[in-house]
Amino acid sequence: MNDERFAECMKAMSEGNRDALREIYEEYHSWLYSVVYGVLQQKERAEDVSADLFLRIWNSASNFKAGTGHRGYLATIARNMAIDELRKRKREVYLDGPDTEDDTETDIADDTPGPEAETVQNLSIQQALERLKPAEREVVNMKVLSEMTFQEISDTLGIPMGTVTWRYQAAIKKLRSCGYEQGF
Amino acid sequence: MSRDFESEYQQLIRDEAPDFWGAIEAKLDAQEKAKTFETVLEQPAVTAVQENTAAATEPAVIPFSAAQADTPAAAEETMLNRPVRKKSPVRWQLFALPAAAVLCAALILPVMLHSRNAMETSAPDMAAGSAVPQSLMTDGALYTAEANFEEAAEAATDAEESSGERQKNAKNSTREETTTDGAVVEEESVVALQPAAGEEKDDENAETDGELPSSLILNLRVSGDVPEDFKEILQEEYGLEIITYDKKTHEYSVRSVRELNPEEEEALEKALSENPYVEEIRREGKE
Repeated sequence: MNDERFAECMKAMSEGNRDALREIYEEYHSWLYSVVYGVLQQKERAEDVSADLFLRIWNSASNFKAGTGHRGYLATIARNMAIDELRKRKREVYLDGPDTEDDTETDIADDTPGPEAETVQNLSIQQALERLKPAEREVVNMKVLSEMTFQEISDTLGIPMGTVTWRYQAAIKKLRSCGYEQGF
Repeated sequence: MSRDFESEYQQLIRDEAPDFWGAIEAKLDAQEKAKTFETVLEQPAVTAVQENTAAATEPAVIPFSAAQADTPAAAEETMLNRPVRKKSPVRWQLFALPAAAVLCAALILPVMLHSRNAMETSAPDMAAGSAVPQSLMTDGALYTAEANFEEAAEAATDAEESSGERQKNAKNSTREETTTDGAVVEEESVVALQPAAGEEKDDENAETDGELPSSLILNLRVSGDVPEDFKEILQEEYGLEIITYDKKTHEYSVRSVRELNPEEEEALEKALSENPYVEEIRREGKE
């Protein structure tokens, strides 16, 4: 879908045409879901936020200005909604009880060569992801799926940017050992 | 063999992406219902008025008849087509405001005017016009205030005139007696005129001090041919109050109605001694 077709769909949506929304959904729902999932990393929450995302696109159709690059427009909305949901979830977790896990110390202390140091070329993508720590996978998801910058990831997670880059480098190291040399 | 992590990972997530179009449609429907409900809530009164007006001007009531009600569908259609005559709460609201205005005008305003007039009547010295702002006055209220003010002015004028007449009468009587009986009679008339003022002063002193003033008590033996109005003469001309009168001895026991200083006592005794009917004067003392 090019920008012109997307603009036509948005105009039709502003007039109440649900078929136009359906067309955008068929084209982008999996990609937008991956962007949301990259931030939230929970399927159920990612599905809810993705549905709300298309509702917001429907409601803001009349305010859309054509020619601004619709993919960036959609990715920005998806990312912001996912980040808002993530912050809300973190507040809820904090109200339930403070998180005692200190990922930074764990990352620095865990510098000894482990099983990930072994070169395993035949692992699937899922097996490769399972070798990553949750904190590392979080950064990788935001960077690869949601196409966020390190600064954005740092601001979203509320951790120093050095920690973000540290985790990302550690994840790349493990993924390379699994045979992935590109796409970082 | 080089593998692209980004493309593989994105493809994995997209393959696993669920179909949530049903959730989107459900949220859209709920949103539209909410908007419709809000729209209905925002225009309830206007809708009711329009419906009532239409019912009054367009009697498009489809009468229900048994012939049309042969089938349940026909009967249902007839019932549905029947214009719904809602019991609108607007009607009593339309009459409530004028009724409240009438009640206010009929009950509250007269009470307020009456109370205002009572206040102005009780305090006539106050400026009636300045007591109430002119902008709040009706014509009737203004007329009443002016009338009260005029009445108060007339009453004050009458009081001044009556007091002036009293003073003139007193002066005239004094002058007349002076011209006829001489200087002594003038003193007696002055003494006789003073009891009214003296009484007031005595009353004031009694109220303030709680003690009765001491008055001079005299015993007067008069001749047997005193005139009938001798008692009035004693009271009016000499300022004496008769305590007792002995018909056999023709003796009066009198006392002055106010406290007299020694000079006044001597003047009184002298005046009495010069009275042709008084034969003897005895001072009993003071009470």
